[in-house]
Amino acid sequence: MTRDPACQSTSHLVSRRSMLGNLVAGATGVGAIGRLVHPSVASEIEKKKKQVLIFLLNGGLSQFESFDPKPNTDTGGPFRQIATAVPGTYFSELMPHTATIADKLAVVRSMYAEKVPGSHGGARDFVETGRPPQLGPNPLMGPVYSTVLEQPSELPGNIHIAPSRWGPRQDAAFLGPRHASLVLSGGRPPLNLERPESINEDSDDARYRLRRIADLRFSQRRRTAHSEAYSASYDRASQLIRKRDLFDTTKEPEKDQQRYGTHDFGRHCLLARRLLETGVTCVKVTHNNYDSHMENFNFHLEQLGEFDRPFTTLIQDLDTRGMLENTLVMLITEFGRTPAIQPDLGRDHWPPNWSVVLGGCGIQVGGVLGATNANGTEITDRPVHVAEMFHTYLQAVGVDPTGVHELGGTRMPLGAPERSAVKELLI
Amino acid sequence: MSDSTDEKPTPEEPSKYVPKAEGVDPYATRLVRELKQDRAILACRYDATGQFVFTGAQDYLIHRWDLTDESEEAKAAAFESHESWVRAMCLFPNDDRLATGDYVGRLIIWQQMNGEPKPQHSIAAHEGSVRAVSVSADGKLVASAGNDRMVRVWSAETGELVRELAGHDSHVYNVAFHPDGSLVSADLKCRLKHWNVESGELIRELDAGLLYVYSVKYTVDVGGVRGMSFNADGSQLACTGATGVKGIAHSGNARVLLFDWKSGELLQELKPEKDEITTAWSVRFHPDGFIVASGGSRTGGFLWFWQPDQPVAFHMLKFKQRAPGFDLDLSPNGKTLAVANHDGTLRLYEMQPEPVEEEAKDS
Amino acid sequence: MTRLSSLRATEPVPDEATASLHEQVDQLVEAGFSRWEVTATERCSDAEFIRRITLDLKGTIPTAEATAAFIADASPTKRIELIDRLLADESFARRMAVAFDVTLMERRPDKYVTSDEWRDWLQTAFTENRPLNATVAQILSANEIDDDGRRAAKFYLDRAVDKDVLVRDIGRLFLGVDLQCAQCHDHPDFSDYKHEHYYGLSVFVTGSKTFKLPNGKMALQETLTREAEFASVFAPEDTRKTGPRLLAGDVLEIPEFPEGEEYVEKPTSKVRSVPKFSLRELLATKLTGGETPAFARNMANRLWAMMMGRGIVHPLDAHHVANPPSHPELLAALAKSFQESEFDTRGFVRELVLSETYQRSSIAPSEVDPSTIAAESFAVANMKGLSPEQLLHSLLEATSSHAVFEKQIEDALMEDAEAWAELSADAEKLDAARDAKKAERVKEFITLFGSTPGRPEGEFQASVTQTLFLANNPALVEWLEPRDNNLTARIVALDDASDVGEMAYLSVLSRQPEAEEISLLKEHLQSRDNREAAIVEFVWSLIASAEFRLNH
Repeated sequence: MTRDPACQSTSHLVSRRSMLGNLVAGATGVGAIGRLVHPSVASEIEKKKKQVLIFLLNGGLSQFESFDPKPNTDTGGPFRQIATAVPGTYFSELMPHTATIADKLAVVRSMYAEKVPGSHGGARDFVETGRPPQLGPNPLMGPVYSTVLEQPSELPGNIHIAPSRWGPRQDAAFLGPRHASLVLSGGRPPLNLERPESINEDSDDARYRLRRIADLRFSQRRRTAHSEAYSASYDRASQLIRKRDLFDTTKEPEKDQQRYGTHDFGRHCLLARRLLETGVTCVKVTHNNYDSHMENFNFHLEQLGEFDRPFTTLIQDLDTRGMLENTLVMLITEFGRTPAIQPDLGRDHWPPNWSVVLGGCGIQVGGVLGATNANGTEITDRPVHVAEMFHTYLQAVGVDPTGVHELGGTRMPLGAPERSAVKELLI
Repeated sequence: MSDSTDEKPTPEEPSKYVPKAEGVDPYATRLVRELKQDRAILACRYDATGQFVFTGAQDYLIHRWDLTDESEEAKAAAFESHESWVRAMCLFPNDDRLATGDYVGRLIIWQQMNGEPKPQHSIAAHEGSVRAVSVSADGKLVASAGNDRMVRVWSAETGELVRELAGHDSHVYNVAFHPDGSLVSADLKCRLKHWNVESGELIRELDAGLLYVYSVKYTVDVGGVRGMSFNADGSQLACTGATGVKGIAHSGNARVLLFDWKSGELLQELKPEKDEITTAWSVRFHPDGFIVASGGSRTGGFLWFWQPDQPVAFHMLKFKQRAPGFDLDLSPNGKTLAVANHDGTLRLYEMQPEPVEEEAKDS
Repeated sequence: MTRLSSLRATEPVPDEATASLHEQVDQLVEAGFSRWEVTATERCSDAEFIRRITLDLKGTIPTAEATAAFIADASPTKRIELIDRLLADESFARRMAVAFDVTLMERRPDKYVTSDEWRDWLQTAFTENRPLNATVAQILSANEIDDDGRRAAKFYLDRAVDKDVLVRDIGRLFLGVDLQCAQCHDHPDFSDYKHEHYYGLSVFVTGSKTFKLPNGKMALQETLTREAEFASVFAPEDTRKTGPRLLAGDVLEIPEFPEGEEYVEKPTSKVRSVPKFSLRELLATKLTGGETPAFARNMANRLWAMMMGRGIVHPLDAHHVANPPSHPELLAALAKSFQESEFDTRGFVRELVLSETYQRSSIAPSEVDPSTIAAESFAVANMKGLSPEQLLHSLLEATSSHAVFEKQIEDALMEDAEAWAELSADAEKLDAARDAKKAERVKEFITLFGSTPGRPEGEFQASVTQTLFLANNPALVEWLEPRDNNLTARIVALDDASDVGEMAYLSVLSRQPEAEEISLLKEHLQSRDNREAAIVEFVWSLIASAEFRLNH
């Protein structure tokens, strides 16, 4: 018997059910833009630059304790549900602030994925690349966006605000290191951004000047693709060094620092705002850690307690700054958590159904897509596969997910060829 | 007489406990009854007569088992009022009242627990869970501790707020009245605060930090004083939890910290003979002079028994069911332990061998 | 009929009938020039040559002394002699071992066989100049379970014996074809990648599993498998079967056994199962034994790419109808020669680097716009990036920072006072700790400058993270501070700008400075207040230059 490969049968469900809440039924998608052979830039229709904001809740966010509460059931746990800004939609009481902006969000309660090798890493890669990891490595969303969306000219276009222990990672796979995310470990400035003390600014300028001259001489009668790329990276590096304040949230108004909170995730969200405001194309903020095999309720309480307010504040700020219209927002996690509450009051991994949230550019907000049964053990309406979501993440910002990456002699599809975007989520 | 000589046992070897004459024999602890409920039981308490055991569970109900009904079909009477799980529970010492707290912040003082229980006062005591409740020795005050980092003291008579004790910077996990009327509360970071209830002033702080760690990997606080109990005269305080927890995927090693109340010094770090991945959830001082705790994790559930002057448990009972003992209570006659299990069964263990005669002993 | 040239000092006279491989290379490459409308550029200078050949055969830049001596040497046969010296040195075997590790394991993290163990095993194979097909056969059969043989199984073991990953990687790395899309259906674009090719290859590895030996180490075991069943995702009801086959080759025979007698050791949970007929042995024999042209072609192509900076089939794992070789005849000749020589790696590499094609400069002919010269024409040398290992070694060599590096390792170990006290008492432990710390530094370079684990080292690319490291990393900056008789320390002691230039350029860029460069240097030194700082700035500009970063 062959193992189930990523290429699922093309007979997946395309439910025409409308989303619950105040959405228009059967909304049409953006429509096929046509098979683009070269990575596309923003669609003809919207010339405004698109940006992306990704919240990765690492470890597996429990859908019960967040967007798909089942209070007073054998699986629901002790917490209540609360009303949100969308009548008829309820979130867990652990997300009171997020509940107030539910009208700016689209919740998908019917995410699913098949099990893949590597419980966390593999599942996370599946969500972030839209392809099963065993067929990879494939580039993560940030690197993909860096090839298809307009990039800022003097800044890194793709930044990951990561937990402390996360270091730089070649997440661009076949797109190459040039497109790799710039990782800010613990939200700190990139490694080696500061000149060592022994080199003052004057000395730095002098040595860069000399280096530039050396490169110009070297490339005079040679093919220049490599040396140009190399020189360009020094230009970008020195731009980045000059812009080091970009990573300093203490430069933001005191009031804002308080609103976001002085804890790590709070500062990271404020940093995300700062980066997006200066034009960074794709910012990912990872919040650690939701893998509560033990004492799920205590830990979700703590983690969502950290998460709820800064997340809400950031969405609201993007909105008031008029940026939400052109910024795709997503809240993702690698899987959900088991309905069954384990003996140590934990919940284990659960890929059969979980919740994902979208907002911003290109997304129909203010409702819920998909549903689970009374105690959350299975999907009852509109299953959405992670690969379909990946298509949606591209389509929402005007990129045709049926396009390809051109790589020398090979072409790699942007999204899994047998999948398509979730039309119900798209404007 | 025991075979112990002048030689002290090596630190890791528990010495044998010698049951007192007319006392119980922990070594003989055995399961005598299983009382089944639908959902995981989080708390259990005997009433003063030993006829009833009250439980709080994940079904939002307070259950009352009448132990005089020894039939197989025995069912608990169940009482509604809470709207979430009930873990916090404390009986009034001198009358038939019960204080309970739930995960959504409600404190209920019930009356007529032995007859037709009904809430006397239903108080929105905390924002977020009520993690523990305690009743003062004179039965006049009820203290509650919660996730809003507050400790509140209520009049048992009127249900009104008497004192608000602020100062904890993390969720308050436990609270207990001392026989002298003062109060101790303990939080997630395992800092204990000793309060003068009348004045509302902080008397001193104790540190049970062995039961707490900040996990860098998971960027979260892990730990807390899960169970807390004074001995009868209040000269010692036991705090339970786990040490060496690596994160949120599984627990660390069960520990009970024994404090000398007067000096505030840590007397002992009580541990099982063999460290397994478990948490110690609840603890009781037995009048015979030993300490018993319940706990467990996914790997299973346990009862541990210690002598207060020796760190290593002299006896351990591993439950046949793979379900931690979340709570423990000692029957008024000191012979039986009630254990609240995750699998929804309240289990009674007698600390004495099976009677040779046919007559059943009083429970 | 071709033959490999003997190790004679003089070049044989070209003769059609007995043209050496390197002569064939040149003839066939030159024959292709008109296709791209290019003319060949000059031979590279001695400086270019020694740097390139030392990087390619040793994995690091030459020492300043070796460079100076080579440039000054008047012997007409000095290049051949240098080639032979480098090939005979153990460092060649090491360099090949590292290159093959990276090619075959693609920076995957160690699982059951450490990188050191595996590289040591490969290095021995290259030291002995074991026929490359024999080495590959050992990797593919992986049936030995003694310590030495077990290491050969890393290819399987450290992919967790994942069937799909193995099929794909065996295709890519040993046959030069990427069957990924063919896992689900015939390739939509390439008619020669078929669904049955994928499954035909999978039969060889389907029965393989891990087995923990009594000594705790992991090895492979095998259950007898005869065929695979598959169906296209576009026609899921239409199931087909295939026995083992190598791409378009015939389905291979597996002998019949009476039922119950298929095993030498039957599969149980306690005993490593050994079938009487091993599919992995079959794979190893058939793939490497000369019956599969794709193998010789692929290995020849990869060795070519290692030296020439670009495969004749490019990318290296993308040989298909829509991506044919740039020089089909040449590739065929290379494959034939390599096979006929019994996969003599050292001999083959020697022929490649003896060729004019290899020894061309990367500087375009005058009056020609370099951007018009197609990389696949080999009319001008293609530039390669230094691998992470090469970069680290070269940086240390260029700046003479080995002593500083050792000191940094010691300092790092000494940071933990308690641990240090323990280590300094035990020589063996201390050595191990030092090695471990060094390995950490190497890993730093690999993470920054290497490919994503599971991906081949691709075209050269530069990222800001890498550049910030080279500019500001404190440890690296220390290598440039004058101390411990490193390069800058010795330069600082020189008065004359010309001497400064000579020493710097020789050490860092492995050549002599041009007059204009000396002028620029003089200007720079004069314009700066602090001479020492000025020298550090200047030396950094060289190590941070594209010229250093690239193998040109």
